[in-house]
Amino acid sequence: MRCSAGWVAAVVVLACASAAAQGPTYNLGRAATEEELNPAGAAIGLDGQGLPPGSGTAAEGALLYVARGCSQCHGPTGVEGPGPHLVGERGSGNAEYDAFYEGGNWQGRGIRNFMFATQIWSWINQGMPLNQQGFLTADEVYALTAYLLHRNGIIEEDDVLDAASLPQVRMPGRGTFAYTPDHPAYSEWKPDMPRTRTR
Amino acid sequence: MHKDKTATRRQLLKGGGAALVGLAAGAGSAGAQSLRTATPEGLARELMAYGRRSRFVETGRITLDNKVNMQMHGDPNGFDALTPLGEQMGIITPAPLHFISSHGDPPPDIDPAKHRLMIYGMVERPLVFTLDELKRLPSVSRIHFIECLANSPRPGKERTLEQNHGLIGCSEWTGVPLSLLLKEAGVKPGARWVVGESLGRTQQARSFPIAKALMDDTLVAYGQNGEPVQPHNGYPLRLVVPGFEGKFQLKWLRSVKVTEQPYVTYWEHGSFTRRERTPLGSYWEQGPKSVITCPAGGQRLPDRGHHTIVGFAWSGAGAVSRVEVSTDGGRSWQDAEIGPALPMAMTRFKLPWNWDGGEAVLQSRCTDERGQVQPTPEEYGAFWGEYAAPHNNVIQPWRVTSVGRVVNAL
Repeated sequence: MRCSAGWVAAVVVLACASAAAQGPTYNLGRAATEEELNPAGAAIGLDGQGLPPGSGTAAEGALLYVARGCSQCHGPTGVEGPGPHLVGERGSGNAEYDAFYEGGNWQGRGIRNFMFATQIWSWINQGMPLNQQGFLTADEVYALTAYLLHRNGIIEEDDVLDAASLPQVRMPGRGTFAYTPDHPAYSEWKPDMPRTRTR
Repeated sequence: MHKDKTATRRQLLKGGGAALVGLAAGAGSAGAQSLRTATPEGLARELMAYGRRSRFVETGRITLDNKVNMQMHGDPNGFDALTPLGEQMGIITPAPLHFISSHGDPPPDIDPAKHRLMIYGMVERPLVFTLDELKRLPSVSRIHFIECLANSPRPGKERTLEQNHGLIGCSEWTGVPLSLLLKEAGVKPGARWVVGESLGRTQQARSFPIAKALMDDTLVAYGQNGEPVQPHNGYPLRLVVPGFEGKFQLKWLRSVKVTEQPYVTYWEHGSFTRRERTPLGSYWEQGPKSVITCPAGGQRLPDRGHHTIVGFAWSGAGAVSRVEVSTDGGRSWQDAEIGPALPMAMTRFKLPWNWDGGEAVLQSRCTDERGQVQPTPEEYGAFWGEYAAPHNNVIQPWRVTSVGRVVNAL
């Protein structure tokens, strides 16, 4: 009987805790506006979650590549440097830079080795132009992404990239990798996971 | 307590000894008392509002040139500087000396009255907080280290203590637990990740498991060492994710988004991930790790005789439980005195040592409360399947040469 009462009490406590978690306790802060919920330069998901409206093609991107100054760092055709090579399998051609990035990532292995096209969009949107980040519109980022994908033989010149089509682009560097939330790359951290040997 | 008293007495004895030597030296010296000159009254009054260290103290962050930035970050326009670890006197790194690794971001000039923090994504109520509102919420103050994932000892005789270990600092952070803000917003079922987003020029953002965000130790911090977070450290808000790689501890925090999957941002692929073919990967927790900061690479022992080996140990998994020191290249180990040993905080250790003037190799080895032991390079490679330069927490040996020069023996 006593046990049973304790059990009931525990359920009540749990129910209360659960209910408390459902509603705010302090009622501070205001509701975010629709505009605030789509901030410029925001991170996006591998599957395109968070991609803003807009679109672009490689033909448009070719003009922007020069007009927005990409060519100043990456060269007129994307392989002259001094910035990382944007076309082909290899990196910058700068031996020191290449040695540092050897094998690790796209700078060392070329843009075809991005595993998801959304990563290229994100890279341009958040990281470029260096020290002028936030300067490109969503349309421009779609067009420049299309240009790089086309120059690397992944899409056609008149393919239109937008929030729906970009995540569908199949990257050659993706290989056999399949995104699942349970892939070790995403779920490997646990509160008590070992970081090194124990004794 | 008793040990502290002993240490104090020892220092006094040491000081007294120096004074006696001074007396013996006679004319021309200050004798038993120091010379005293007046601070100009104007300056003295000026310093009453906000103090400044003595003009004789010149310790500063060690700034990195652009070539190093390029090597470390592929970023030719870095704002990066090392903590002068060899000069740090306790577990708190003064905020003006805390390392900086901002990847090209000069600190934005943020008006706190206009700054907002948004909690959005997979939540019932996307919320926007002012700083004043955040300060009205229950807050905590906790001492935690922040260490850059690139803080890794590298071989090279001339590499100094700071070059090998200077991308770490430890502060008392004051702020609101992120878990509290997430509960206010109401996390929806199915949420597994959070993405922090920064207001810096490079628009940095990082994803980490919501399990960490809900552990109550992750903070949205507005205070550092008792005053507002400094601009280079994230003013007015910094995400503090205790024990995790520094890359997660976003400065100039503008929002936290709750998501089902990790987002992939500029800074989450490229050179910042594990060198395997995944679009995103992290080592998450730093350490366990320790380093002797005196005597250490780049320093010189003035004389043989009594020295105190001092250093710091830390672990992203919790508190440091033990630090062992070897003065013979790892053949034998002695337990060093440690404390205070706070979870995910720099922990000071010390051990008396008599230098006989011969060559010696000094090193330290940390064990944390989970029983994890700081590895040798061989053990590190065996555990991770590679010997990577970033995320490296191997034992750091320093060689003391017969003339008292201390060099990197890794």
